[in-house]
Formats: sequence, C-alpha cells, structure tokens
Amino acid sequence: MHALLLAVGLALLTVLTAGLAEAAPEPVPSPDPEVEGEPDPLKIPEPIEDDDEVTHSPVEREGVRSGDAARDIGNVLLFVPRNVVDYLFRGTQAAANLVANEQLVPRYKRLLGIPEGGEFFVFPTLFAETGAPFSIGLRMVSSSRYVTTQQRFGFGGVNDVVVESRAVFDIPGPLPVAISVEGFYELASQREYRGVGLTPARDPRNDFNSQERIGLYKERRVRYLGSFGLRLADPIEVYLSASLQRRQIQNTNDVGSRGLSEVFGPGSIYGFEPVDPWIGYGEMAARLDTRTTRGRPVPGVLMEVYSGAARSFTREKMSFLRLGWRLQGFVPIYRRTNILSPRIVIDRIVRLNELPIPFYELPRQPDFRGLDTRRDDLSIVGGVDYSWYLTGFMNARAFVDLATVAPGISDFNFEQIKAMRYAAGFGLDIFSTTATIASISLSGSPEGARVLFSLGAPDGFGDRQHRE
Amino acid sequence: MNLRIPSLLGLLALAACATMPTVYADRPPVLEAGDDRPIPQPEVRVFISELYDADIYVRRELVKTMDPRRVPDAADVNVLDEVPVSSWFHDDQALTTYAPQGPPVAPWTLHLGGESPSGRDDAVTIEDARGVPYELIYDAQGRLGQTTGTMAIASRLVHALGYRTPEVHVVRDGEGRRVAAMQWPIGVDLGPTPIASTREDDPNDRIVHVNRRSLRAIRVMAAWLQIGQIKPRMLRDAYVGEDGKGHVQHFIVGLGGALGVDHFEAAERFARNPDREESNFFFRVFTLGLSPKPPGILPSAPHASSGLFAEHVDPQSYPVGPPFEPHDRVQPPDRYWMAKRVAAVPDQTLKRALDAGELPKEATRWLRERLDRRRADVVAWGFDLTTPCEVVTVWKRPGGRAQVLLRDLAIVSGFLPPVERTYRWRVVDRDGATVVPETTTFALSAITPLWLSAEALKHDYLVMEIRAQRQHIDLPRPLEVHLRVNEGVAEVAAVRH
Repeated sequence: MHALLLAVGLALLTVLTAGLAEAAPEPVPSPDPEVEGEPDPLKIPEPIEDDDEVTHSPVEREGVRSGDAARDIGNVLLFVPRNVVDYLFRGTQAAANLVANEQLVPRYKRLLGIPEGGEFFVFPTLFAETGAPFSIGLRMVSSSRYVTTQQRFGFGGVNDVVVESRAVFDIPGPLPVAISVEGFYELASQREYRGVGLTPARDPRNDFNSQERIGLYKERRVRYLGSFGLRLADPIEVYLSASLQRRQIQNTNDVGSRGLSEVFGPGSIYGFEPVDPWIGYGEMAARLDTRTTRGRPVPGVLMEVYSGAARSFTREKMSFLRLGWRLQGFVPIYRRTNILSPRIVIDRIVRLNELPIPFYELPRQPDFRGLDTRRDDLSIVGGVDYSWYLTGFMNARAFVDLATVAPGISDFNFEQIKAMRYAAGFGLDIFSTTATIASISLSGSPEGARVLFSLGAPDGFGDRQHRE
Repeated sequence: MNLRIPSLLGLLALAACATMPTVYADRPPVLEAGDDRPIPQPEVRVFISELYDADIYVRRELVKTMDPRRVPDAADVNVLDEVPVSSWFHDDQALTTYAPQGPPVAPWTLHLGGESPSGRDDAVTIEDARGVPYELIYDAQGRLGQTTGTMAIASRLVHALGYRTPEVHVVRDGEGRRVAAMQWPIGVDLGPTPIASTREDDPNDRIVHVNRRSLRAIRVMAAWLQIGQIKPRMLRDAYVGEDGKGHVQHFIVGLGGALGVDHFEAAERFARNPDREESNFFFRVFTLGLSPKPPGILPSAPHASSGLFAEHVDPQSYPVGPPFEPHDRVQPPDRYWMAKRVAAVPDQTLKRALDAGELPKEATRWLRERLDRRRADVVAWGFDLTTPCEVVTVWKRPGGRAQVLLRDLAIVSGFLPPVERTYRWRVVDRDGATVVPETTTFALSAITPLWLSAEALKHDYLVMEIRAQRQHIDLPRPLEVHLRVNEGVAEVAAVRH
C-alpha cells in the first residue's frame, strides 16, 4: 500500500512540478542544427541503464560471459524495486533542483518580489510513522531581507493532504520584529479518538456504545493565522498570535462499526458533525532559547510559556483558555558533543462558563514518543534525551519519555502516577547547520512499538501554534 | 509442466556457462570525442548539499545493492582502450597548454562574495588589469608555502595526467605576501559537475558519468598525490566560449589539499579538538560518546611547506572521501590506464611542476623523492592488475603468417626483468571457437612477438587472449587483442585489458 502511495505521490509531484514549469520561457534554439534540441528541463535524470549508452567503442555484437544469464535473472527480479528507489530519489531531486535551479526560480522570485540576492530553499519532505499514512511532499522557502515565504505541500493519499502557505515580514530595528500571516488546509482520512482520560476504557466520562474502544474519524481543517513576534534580546522572543480555524469531523469512510459516532454514544462526542464552529483564538507566548543553533544539539536552555483564549463565532457557543509551559535543558556531558536534555511540557485547557469543548481541542501529547493517544484537560509530558556525536552530520539519540493526562491538577493522585505511560527508544538524526533534516527513531512502550521516519523539516516547524 | 521447469533450468545453466567474445564494429578508433560542439549556455547548477548527502549515502547504496548486473566497461574509451581527447580529458603531459593566461597582471581589483571553489574560507577573488578573474589563496599562519606551493604543484601534475585544471601561479600580493593565484572561473562557472547523471542541458554530455574511465580512475590519481578528499565542489563545469558558440568543459579545482596537506590539516584539527574521539562509526555508536579521548598530538612535517606526505602508498586501499559513485564501478583496466598515465608523466614535467611551487630547495627535493616513490607504488600495483601490454603493431610475415608485437610496460618501466615474464595465450574466432590452442611464449625483452599461422588468418575475426605471467603465476586478467583479417592481412580491431 505504501509503495502504491509512493508511486502516486511521486507521479503527483512530477505532475505538479511539470505544471509549474509550463510557464517557463521558451528554450533558446540551438545554433547548430546537428546539435540535439534543448533538453526538457523537467526531465527526471534517468536511472543508469547501460544498454542505451553512447560509447566510443561501437560493437557489432556484445560478448557473452559466464554467469551473465544468472545476472540477467537477478536483474529481472530486482528491476522494479531498484528503479522505484532510483526514481523516488531522482524524482525528488529533480523536483528540488528544478525549483532551485531552473527557470522557475527567477519566475518564483519575481512572483514573490524577492529582490536580487534573495535566497530560495527547497526541502523535500517524507514522513512515515507507525499507524499514520505515509506522506511525501515539498517545502519551499524563499527569503529576502524583509520577507520570508513558505509553501508546503504534503501528500499521503487522495484523502490525506496538507497545504500551507506562510509569509513572514521582518522589520529590522533595535528590537527585531516579525509579522506573519498564513493559510493552512489539511485533510486527514483516518484519525483515532479513544476518549478522555489516562485509561479511557475505565473513565466514566466516556460513553462507549459498543465493544470497540477506538473511534475512527476523518477531519477537514482550515486555519488562518496571524502573528507578531518581537525579539527583546538575542535569546528572548515574544509572540502574539491570533487564529481562526474550523475543523469538520465525520466518520472515516468504510470502517463500519469502528466509526467515531458508532463507537461512542449518540451526542457524547462534542465536536462531531454537525458541530463544526469557526473558533477564534488569541495567544501570547514567550520563549527563552540560549542555544546557538537549532540544528545539532548544543548546550543551552529552552523555556517557553503561553496563554491564550478561544471562543466560537457561530451558533454553537464555546469558550476556553489554554495555558502551558515547556522547560528543556541541554547539558554537555564529558564532551560538548554529548548532550543530556531533560524536559517537561505542561499543557492545560480551562473551560469557561461551563461551556463544552470540542474533543479535538483537548490537549494531545505530540511530545510523547510512545503512541500519542490520550487527551484530557491537562497533559504533562516529561523526558530525558541523550544525544551523542557520530559524524559531522549525524547524531545518535536515546530517550525516555513519561506522560500522563488528567481532568485537572487536583485529580492527580498516586494511582495516576502508577498508571503513568512511558516509552523509551533510540534514534538517528541528520542535521544541516541550521536544522534537523532527517530523523529516524524507534520507540517501545507497553502499548507497542512506534517507528518514526522523517526527511525534511517536520510538521511542527515554526512557532508554538504550529505544534498544535 | 513438470518437464518444463527442469528444461528451463537446464537451458539457463547452459547459457550461464556459454562464452562468446565481443565483436567490435569495423570503424576507425575515436581519437577525439567531438563533445565541443557549440551549445547555448546551460544553467548554473545550484548544489544542494542535503540532496547530495541523501543521494550518495542512501540512493547510491540501495541501488548498488539491488543491481546484480555486470559493471559495464568504461564507455569513454575507444577501441584501443584509450580515453580520447574530450571536454573531460586532454593529452598534454608536457604542460604546453597549461597556462594560457599566465600570472595575474597588476593592478588587481578586489571582488567580494560568491562561492569559493577552492573551499578556502580566506580566499579572495580578484580581477587583474586585463579583466581576467583569479582566486587568491593564502597559506595558513606558520605554514608558508604549504597550501600555495601544493596548489601550484598539484594542479600541474593533475593536468599532466590528462584532467583539466585551472592554472595556479605563486605570486606576491600588494603587501608582498605569498599567495596562490588560481585563474577561475574559466568562462562561466556552471557549478559542481553532476556525478550520478549527465548534465541534462548539455547535448554534448551523452556518456553516463559513472561510466567515464577518467572519473572511475580518479582515486588512483588521488593515491599518487595523496589527495584526502575529492569534494563535490572540486569537480566543476565551465561554459567556455561566447554565449551560443561555446561548450562545457569539466575541471578539477582547488587542489590545495594534495601532497598530504589534507591529512596535515585534519590531524591538526583533530589534535586541537577538545571533543576528539575515535573515528570508527560503530565504536562511537556503542560507546555513547563517552570513550576516553585519544591523545591530541600536533602533526609535524620535515618542512613548514610540507604536508603529511607519506613515503609509500597502497593504492588498493587508499581512502578518499566522500563516497564517489564512479569509483564504485572502477575496473582493473580503468586503474591500469591511470597507472599508465602516472608512469608516463615526463621527468621534465615533474621538475616544472615542482619548480612552480617556489618552495625551498630542500622541501622540493623531499617532495620529489616522495612523488617518485609513490609513483613506483602506484605503477607497480596498476601493472599487476591486468596484463600490462600494449600492441605495437601487427606485421605481415612471409608464408602468409603474421607477427603481433607486444610491448610489456612492466618490463619497460623496470619493474620486472624479461626472464620472469611469460605469456600464456590462445586465439578464438568470433564465435568463441578455438583457433590456436593455449601456447606459452617467453618474453624476449620489453617487446615480444607472438606468431599467427596462415591457417589462423583464414578467419575473418580473431581474438587473442594473452595472459601475462610473473614467474609463471598468472596475472588476474588477460589482454584481449581483437584482429580483423582481410584477405590474410590482420589489423587491430580492438584492445581490451
């Protein structure tokens, strides 16, 4: 299935880039009629098929050597997987190179008003995670002195698509300021909801309607976001952001009794269709980050606090507050390249006026590297990472995570601690000088194993609201 | 059905055992590739290091593992097993075309910005009084002549081996400081040469780069000159000529790390690194970064201008980073070809190259000794990979016979006395049928004749399979001499090592 998705994704990527490049200028005619025509700039470099190759030693008949027949059989068997891999990489590279190298760059720069000397980057993206659709895509970032824009496209199947467009305006001065606006659209075909609480199956707040304990749903999400960022000092930033978003929730197609509205009692899931309000949310966040780079782990401290208020703008009344903080240290051990990184992340939602909150707004636990399946009004994730140097561009990482959720602080008790969830794992990270460009990790927990592979900037790339 | 499978397997087994020689087309050898036809200027290629890393460390490894096909012979080789002159390769071992521009002419104008193909952080770009661009590269503090001298020497030696390199001159800048002036760009710099594919916008570029002998054998050159790294930025394309009338040429740029300088700098960095660690990847994985720090010993060389230029080299295992896809396909004939090129560098060229380094006499003499010893190592190794013979000519002799004269380069180079050399050879026809059964001939001198009878010359196409022996022990590969016979007169159709 994943191979099929890969092939479809690749084809789509190729079609997309082909479509983009249709506007490319006409090729300059060759001055020499004997010279072959200008090659198609969109052509994906061919895998090396030696049969068709030009040679300075033309032959009348190729020789046959002992063992050639066995090699031919092996070649037939491996032809498809070899070329799938080859085309996948060449296709991604061709797309990235095309945008970075070819006629699209000046056109794109002109479209975005990037002045001479502005920069343009392309990150191919590839995500694979246990229990989630395989996704490939492209993130394009253009940067000039005052404006940075980002376009992101992710594809994991016809019903799993992400499109995002963002522009950040930098205003230099004694206190650097950044203002950003963005649009975001996501279609996800199969998400899981297990109810609220640390042990949803036993939590009386969940009204299960059948023997199934996991409800599957599809989600269509639209979000507009504006933010204002201010750097008070080199490591201190303040963000003010406001968003307007809507999520439409329906049962996943063709899953029968495992659909969300089948698993849970009628009306017990607030937020299921037809409840799909536009929700406005305003937030203030502050971040202290003393690290010198965001790529390879380096010594420093990261602290983040945020608080925000939300209300609906449609007939379904809802109103709530969000608040939370994150504290993470990066401590060198023996070598500056060995970094021990303890962290704690707390997210809280506060109900106002006893109004209901859609289930999808409850804090999740994306920082927990076991299975992120719990939601409640309060989430606490703690953990320790230990990262050490392998090569100039690669680190290894071992980690342990603990996570719990609860209806509120007063509900924490010894039983809650005993039922706390944990996960441990090992991973490899590949860096550029400024960011993590690929990561693979394997974690294990009592609930199962989780493999996560990502190539390119991850989804949460950006300020705090983008991790929601 | 039960009968079909064994039958099929039987046929396959039969096919697996069958051998038949290649028959070369009846065409004159290609002496010039003709890849200098005028083309519009191709796009400047932006190098994306993340894509490059993914390509060489992931795609290359996966595809290589899943490819059982026999590695094809180099495609930029003519029927005489030589690389013809092309935009990649020239044949100027005497350095006559090395420096068309000469050193920069004062006054110079400073230019800022742009990528430095030399890879040196402190490189400066200038334009001389004639408007010719140069990149100026300085020596590290306390290492006068190390980088500048090496660049001047190595670029000439690499040129002498047949690669295109920008000319480098040791000059003094306006403040009297010693500096290497590298004339670059030559024409328009099109960025790093794509390695895994051809350049899509260069219609002249029609041979897959991984199948170019000149690229496959590049590490043999690196072994001789002790180049530690051939980074992607060092292989560069340039558009030479007026726009629309020019063509792409391929260069090796920034050889300041040759002659052991790469190794000197790496050792120095290692010694000064407070976080230094053993280099073994798996050792690092399993020791969690907590292994004891190895001692940090600063490197020392006999002269300030010298790198850690070892006296001897084992070309078979000489490491060069990063992974290089053409090297994955290198074959013994490719290595032999480069060993032949190294052996053929004239004495006068070596002297000119070393003189261009403008180093103290002692340092120059030391370098010369090491270059000679390493050259002997490379050539001796290369001449043992296959039968190191070339065909001098085919003579028509009385009685309808013919004499194939072989020149043994190992004997010519003095690595082997003729008395230790024998040739075990046989002749087959175009279908692989034996024409002359296996015969042993003793080497007479550097040149040895092998006789073909009138009977043998009745076949229209003959393949002589000649395997050299050293003290009666076979060398790993035979020399194949393909002869086309026309009315009893044989002429060389192809040579394969």
